[in-house]
Amino acid sequence: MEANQLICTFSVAEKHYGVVVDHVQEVLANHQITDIPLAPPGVLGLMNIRGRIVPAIALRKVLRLPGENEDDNTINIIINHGGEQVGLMVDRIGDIVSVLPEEIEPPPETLKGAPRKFMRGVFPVQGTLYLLLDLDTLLADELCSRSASRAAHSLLQ
Amino acid sequence: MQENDKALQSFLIESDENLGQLEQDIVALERSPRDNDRIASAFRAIHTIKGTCGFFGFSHLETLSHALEDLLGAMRDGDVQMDLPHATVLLDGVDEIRVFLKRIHDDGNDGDPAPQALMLRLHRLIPDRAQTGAATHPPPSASLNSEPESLEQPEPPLSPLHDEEPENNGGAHTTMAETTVRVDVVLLDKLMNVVGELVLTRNQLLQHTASQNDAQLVNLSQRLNMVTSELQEGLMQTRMQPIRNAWSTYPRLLLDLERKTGKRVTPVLKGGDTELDRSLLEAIRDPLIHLVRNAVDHGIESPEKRRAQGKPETGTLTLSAYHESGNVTVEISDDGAGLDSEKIIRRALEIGLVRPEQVEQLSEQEKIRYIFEPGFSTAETVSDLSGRGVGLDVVRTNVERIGGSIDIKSLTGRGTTLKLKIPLTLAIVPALIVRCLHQRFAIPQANLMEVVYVESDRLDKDIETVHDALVYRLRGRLLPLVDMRSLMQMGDRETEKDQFILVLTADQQEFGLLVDDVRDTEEIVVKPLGKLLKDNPCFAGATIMGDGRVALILDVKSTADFAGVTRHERKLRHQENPLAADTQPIRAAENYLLVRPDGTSGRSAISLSKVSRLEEISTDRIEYSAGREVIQYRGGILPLIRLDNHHDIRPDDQDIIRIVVQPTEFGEVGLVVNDIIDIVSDDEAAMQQNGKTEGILGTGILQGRVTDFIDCDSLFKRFHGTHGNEDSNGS
Repeated sequence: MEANQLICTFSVAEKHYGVVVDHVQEVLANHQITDIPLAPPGVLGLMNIRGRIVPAIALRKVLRLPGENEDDNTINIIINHGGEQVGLMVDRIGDIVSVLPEEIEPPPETLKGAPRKFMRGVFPVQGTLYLLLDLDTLLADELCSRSASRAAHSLLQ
Repeated sequence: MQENDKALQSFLIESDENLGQLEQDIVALERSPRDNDRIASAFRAIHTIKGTCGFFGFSHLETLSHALEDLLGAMRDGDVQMDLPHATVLLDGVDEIRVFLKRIHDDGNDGDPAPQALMLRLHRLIPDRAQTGAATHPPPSASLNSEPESLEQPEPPLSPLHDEEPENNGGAHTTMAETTVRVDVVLLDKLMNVVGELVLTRNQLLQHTASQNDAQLVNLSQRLNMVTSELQEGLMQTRMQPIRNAWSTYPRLLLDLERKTGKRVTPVLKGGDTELDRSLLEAIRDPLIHLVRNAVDHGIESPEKRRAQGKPETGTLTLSAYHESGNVTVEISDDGAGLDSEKIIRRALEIGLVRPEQVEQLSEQEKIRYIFEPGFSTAETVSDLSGRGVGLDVVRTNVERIGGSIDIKSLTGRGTTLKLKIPLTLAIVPALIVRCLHQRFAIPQANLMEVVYVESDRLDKDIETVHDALVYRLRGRLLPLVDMRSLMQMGDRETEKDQFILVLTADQQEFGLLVDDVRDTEEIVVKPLGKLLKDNPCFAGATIMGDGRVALILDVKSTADFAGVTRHERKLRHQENPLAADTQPIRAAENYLLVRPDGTSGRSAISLSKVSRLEEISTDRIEYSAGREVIQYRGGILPLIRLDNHHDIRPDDQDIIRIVVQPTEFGEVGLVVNDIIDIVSDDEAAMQQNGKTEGILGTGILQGRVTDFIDCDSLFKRFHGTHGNEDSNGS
């Protein structure tokens, strides 16, 4: 009945994820990123995308995954979210896959911890399981929105 | 359906304009009732509204506008003369129509009939002839029961306005339509964004071209450069609106205020053609209205009072706008009573904005400025007119939010002048590009006072680190410093290489920002940071530099708050801990200058707020006047006070003495100390109030040592009592 869902897949720290393709605007490699002092820890910096200022999210950090982002080979999936653009930093970009709605299952009970709330579901692609991310909760996470700086507030006192 | 929506939309917009016109006409007519042009204009405005109502079937609104039209028609025919009661009813009618329009805008229909009371008041004023429609002129439309078709019926022919009847597509209207178009501001904003991007692309192209060796490319990019600039300028023009637009409601506002207060006010409007960006105009609309209300409510006195003081009974409220060094200045001045600084300071003491011992050193100007502080609203100032829960602090905040500033001057008995400085536009601002470590930041020029260069080998000497607090002596003044690297958590302070101090102002407070390098000044396009970063403490936005990289724009005001260098911030911290403030009222959040007052090892602390400068002088500069020690200082005579009461000089002790220069109400005095040790914050000061030792506020432990807190005020008083001149008491 329902149309197949197109999902853009990618991987971070050898784990597989996907976002609904409707949100994806474009994918950029090795884009220049400017640091933002005192920014939320999950926000890596700002990019200039054809005159628009777009924040880059360190997905690895927000998903609480181990390791650091590779400096020389970064890939940004630019997504449109609530009228604003945001870049998701990933390790590798995958295919765009077509998934039947019934193929998407709720995340397994065994998946625990902070990342669970970012998951909309799990879907298989050729035997591999992918986690479908929920952008609303992901971007509302405190690592993305809470400024890290407040702690340092009393510098001069 | 869509067509209808569009028609309705334009009905709302046009009606709003017509109401504005009507309102101005009524107010003007109240002052000069025989102005036939005005009557015609008012009649036309209400007639148009009434007619279009019929078209949309808003019968309740139509009934109300019809009544207004009848009354204005009677005036046009000379049956009724405009006076204050008439104007009042008409204006109430205008307000009610606005309510209808709001309802139509929100719900799509005109809801309930107009209030009965208003209709009754209107009908009571309309002469019978006009009401029944049996006017002197042939019958057509002027009847309460008239059908919506009355729109199509010809109006009573009256020569001066006949040609300009709105539905009569004649003369004036056609020309207006030909020379102007109505543009949605959303579209203008969007275009502005696109032009912003074009400007950036041009900057990048120019930079690239400079490195190429291609004459034709240079030519083309020059052309592009010029065209872009022109386009940018032109588009900025479209966003500019004369400030008169914000003022148009004032005559009406003043009339209402006059009615409520019984005062008489003549508005004088100057420079209404001065233009500024429409978003800024919107932003200052409410603050200005608030200031106008304030001026009438608190500034201008009642006619009786004015007469008693030999002033004209009618007060004058002058609004003027003009361009001044890249800003628009708007002045609101009244010739009223002026501000009572004593009353203000009493209130400030009451709510803890200022401590008693600080009062004496405040200038008149500083005292008056307390009315801009949050929470400041004296019981005496709360009234129906101004006391609407918004104080001047809100006005100040709103003005500062758009990068403006507000200043106040007052002369007792002569009046008050408020001066608002507003930038021309927000979209593109001049900024200084600076470097901190590997990153560039843009500092808005509006906040930048000067740049001080400090060479690497002078860093230690010139930038004094006193217990975590950095200070720089700028022409004798103590300038609190903020190290950008530490503040932004980018790294430790530079101690090896040359540094620059940006002297910035925020909220009338100066501070210095230490950065690594200063580049050039650029016109930057301000871009918002977006939702994720709205919580950030220091940045107002970002911009894209010529090389395509992003640079953050510093919000100087929030940075100052974040670094804790503003008074406001100190006060906030004070409020956060009300208990401590209650039990130890003398322990207010403050920094202290730690000194050794005499040859012994005893330590004393002086509130840093009392210190204007630190000087070192050689002892042979000390001279005597009437038995007291003085020095020649900055072209004047500076009396010296010794903390240890030894008035004799001991030249053996030292050749150099250190002087803490302090302002007092009697002028500056110099406090002679043996040594200046440190500057400490009060966080560690646990002071106990001890007996009544003169000149000592209390004793506490600072940095693990017993320290006396010097009571400067009593010291000066005592000093003045023994040495002062009698005549200075009268000040």
